[in-house]
Amino acid sequence: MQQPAPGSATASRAAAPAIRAIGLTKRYGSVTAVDQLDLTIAPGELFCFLGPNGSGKTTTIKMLTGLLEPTAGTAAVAGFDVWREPLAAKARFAYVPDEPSLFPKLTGREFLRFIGSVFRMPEALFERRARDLLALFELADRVDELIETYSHGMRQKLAICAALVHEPPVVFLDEPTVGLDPRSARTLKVLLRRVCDAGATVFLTTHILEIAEQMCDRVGIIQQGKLIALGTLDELRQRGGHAGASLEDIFLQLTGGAESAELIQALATGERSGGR
Amino acid sequence: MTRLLLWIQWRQWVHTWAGPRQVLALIAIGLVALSAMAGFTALGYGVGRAGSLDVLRPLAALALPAVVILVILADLPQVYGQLYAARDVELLFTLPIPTRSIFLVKYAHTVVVGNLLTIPLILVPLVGYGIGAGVRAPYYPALVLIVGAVAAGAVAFCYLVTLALVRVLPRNRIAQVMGVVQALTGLVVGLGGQVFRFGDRLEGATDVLPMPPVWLPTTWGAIALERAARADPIGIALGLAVVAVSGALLLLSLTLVERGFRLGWVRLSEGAARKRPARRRATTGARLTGPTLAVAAKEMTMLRRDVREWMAFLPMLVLFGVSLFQLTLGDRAGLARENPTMAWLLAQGSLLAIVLFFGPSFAAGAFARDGLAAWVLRTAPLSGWQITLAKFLVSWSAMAAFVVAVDLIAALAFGWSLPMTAAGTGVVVVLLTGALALGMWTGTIGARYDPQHPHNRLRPGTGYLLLALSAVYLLVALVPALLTTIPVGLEPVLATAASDASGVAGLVARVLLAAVRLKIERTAVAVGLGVLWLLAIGLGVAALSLWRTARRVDAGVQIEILTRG
Repeated sequence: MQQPAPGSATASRAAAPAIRAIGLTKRYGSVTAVDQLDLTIAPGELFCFLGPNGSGKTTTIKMLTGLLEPTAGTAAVAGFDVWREPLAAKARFAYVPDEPSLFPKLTGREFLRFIGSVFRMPEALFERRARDLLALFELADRVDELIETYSHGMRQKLAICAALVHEPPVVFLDEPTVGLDPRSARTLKVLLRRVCDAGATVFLTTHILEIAEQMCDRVGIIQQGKLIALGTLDELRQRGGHAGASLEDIFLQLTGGAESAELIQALATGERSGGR
Repeated sequence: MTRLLLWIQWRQWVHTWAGPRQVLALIAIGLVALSAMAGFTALGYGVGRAGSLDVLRPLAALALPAVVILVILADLPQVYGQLYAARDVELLFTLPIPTRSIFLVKYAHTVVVGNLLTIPLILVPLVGYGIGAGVRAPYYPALVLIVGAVAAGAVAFCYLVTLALVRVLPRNRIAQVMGVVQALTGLVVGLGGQVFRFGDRLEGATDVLPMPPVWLPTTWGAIALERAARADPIGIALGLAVVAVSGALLLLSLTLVERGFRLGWVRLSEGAARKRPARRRATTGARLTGPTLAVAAKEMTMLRRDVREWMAFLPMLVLFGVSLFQLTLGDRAGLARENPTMAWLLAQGSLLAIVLFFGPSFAAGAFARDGLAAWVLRTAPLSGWQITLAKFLVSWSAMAAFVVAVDLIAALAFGWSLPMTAAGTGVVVVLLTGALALGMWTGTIGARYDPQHPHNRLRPGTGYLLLALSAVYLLVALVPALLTTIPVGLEPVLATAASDASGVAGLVARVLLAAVRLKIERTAVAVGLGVLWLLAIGLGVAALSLWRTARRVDAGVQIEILTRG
């Protein structure tokens, strides 16, 4: 492979972070969904983006993938600005939404072929990758049926296959394990780790803190649109003085969920209703 | 329990319309409705003043079936969504609420909300008629009762048909069949209108058509109204008979509630476990292609596999068929055979008008078709041009194939020569190119996706804009089309018409005559001018519209997703 000349635009892009967000902001009227988000994710990193419901995770991922126009700030993938150079950026990432609605009147195979064609994949490489991924996610038997007959989990698996079939340098996954059976969830976790070890970058949002704890290189926690924590698990423990704490403890501490433990206890024992 | 559910409906309605903006919208709608009602009352009053009470019976005998038709047209598509697609049904079925109560609330909702326009359209002019004709007082309560009962009966009929269809149809076909039923209902109504238009040509038809058969409950309603207008007590009995028929239809649908509604919903919602093994499909596009072709192949596959997508062609086919049929009737048949040039001009004119009106709405649905899966194209490395071009090619191919097919059929029927047929097809296809591109651009402005009615892909405002644009485009396009295609043999006919006719008809005749004379004197200039103008209009509008469409696609087309409940 030809190496880019040092100092050239290509060389600077090759050295660029996989994902970079600077001052990324999204406002809906008076409501700020994401507020001045700064984020840099290096190639090969598996990054987990955590936060309570409605904290701005999906809004962020949609701005990073060009599905939502930021009110302010910039987002770049592999050195390409998602809004100024959308085609170049999109050629370098894949996205799996939390509710993967696909074209219902296509078969699974036709959908994968469509993706292979859009990304101009060589035929042989596509066939090999598609076969391996379909086998891995146990979809090979159903791939010639219409997508409209698939369950949520099967659509999720097909969307993941479509995202990984063209070997993108960056993969965005929004709640990828929702709807997956335990075996497929395990397969996905192992696969994502291998994808990152091979040099690709994964940005995923999840509510399942065990996944983040086991898999991720770094974690970002967002609350009410603001990034309130960023770092490796060890860094988060050190910063907050939570030596030995689990990610769940840190998450609850940071997002204010700890005080709800008291209420839960009260409800469980019936103290609040006078023991009725 | 039913009362509780009705209260819930009421609260939802209040929350939907209680905001300051919504109140303003309600006031505006109310004012428009009041003006319209005043107009309708005046219309009815005029008829009442001019006619006598004897006119009431045939008038009402046509007005009441019109209520049924309007209700079926407006409500049949909604009923399926109300029963099986509304998001509240899942929750309601898990609560200890009798299915019959849920059904009755849905039914009441359709009777009230679904007929906010339908009932006044018929009721108000008949009130005006009563005032104009000076009817007796019992007419007015009888009118409200009978029109209300007929509308309620028609809604019950819609529910009955839906419940029965859900019971007998295969699960995976129900949504498609409901779409087809809706389109066919519209078609039947359209053809019904044509029957009246043919009436003046069919011997003796005029004697039969104005009075529908006496066994129809709507005819009983008409007689009841006439009797009530004369304060004849027999009107009460006939009015009650109409109410009884509506009640019977509702009772009949209530007998299907358990199996048709609850179990039908369960059947429609059940997962893959109980269904038959799905059919394996031959994969289209065995090899990978370029991105534009891949999008086009995807579009074509989606079109091919949903019969509802092709419903857009039905009215075009019927209208063109009717136009040809009219050319073959009575004196016109001989004229068409003796003068194929004239028949050709009329047929091409009809075809052009039909495809320029209906084609753009077919193309306009291209973006909303992606619906919830639109994110796939938006996150793929595809330019706006690639997506636009692919979608346009598919719409254009389908419509152009339709034009070629119907022109060939007409050519065989009337014995046109090959150059004539080719010229006509060429002109229509070139102008169609611009119209479809215009439709696609409109589709990016107000795209809407309704999973239950995938052929309904534009927001209402955008739909009206498209109609207006199509009309303007048609007018502009007619000039080059006429210059290119008008046969010189029409000169004597047009000369006579231009000297005899006055007003707009005379003006049109004189313009056409000028075009024909230019063509006789300077054939090359006239045809050349026509062709250049034609290409400029057809391809120019196409290029401009596609360019704007591609820009909008790059910026991201917003699709309004409709959900029920």
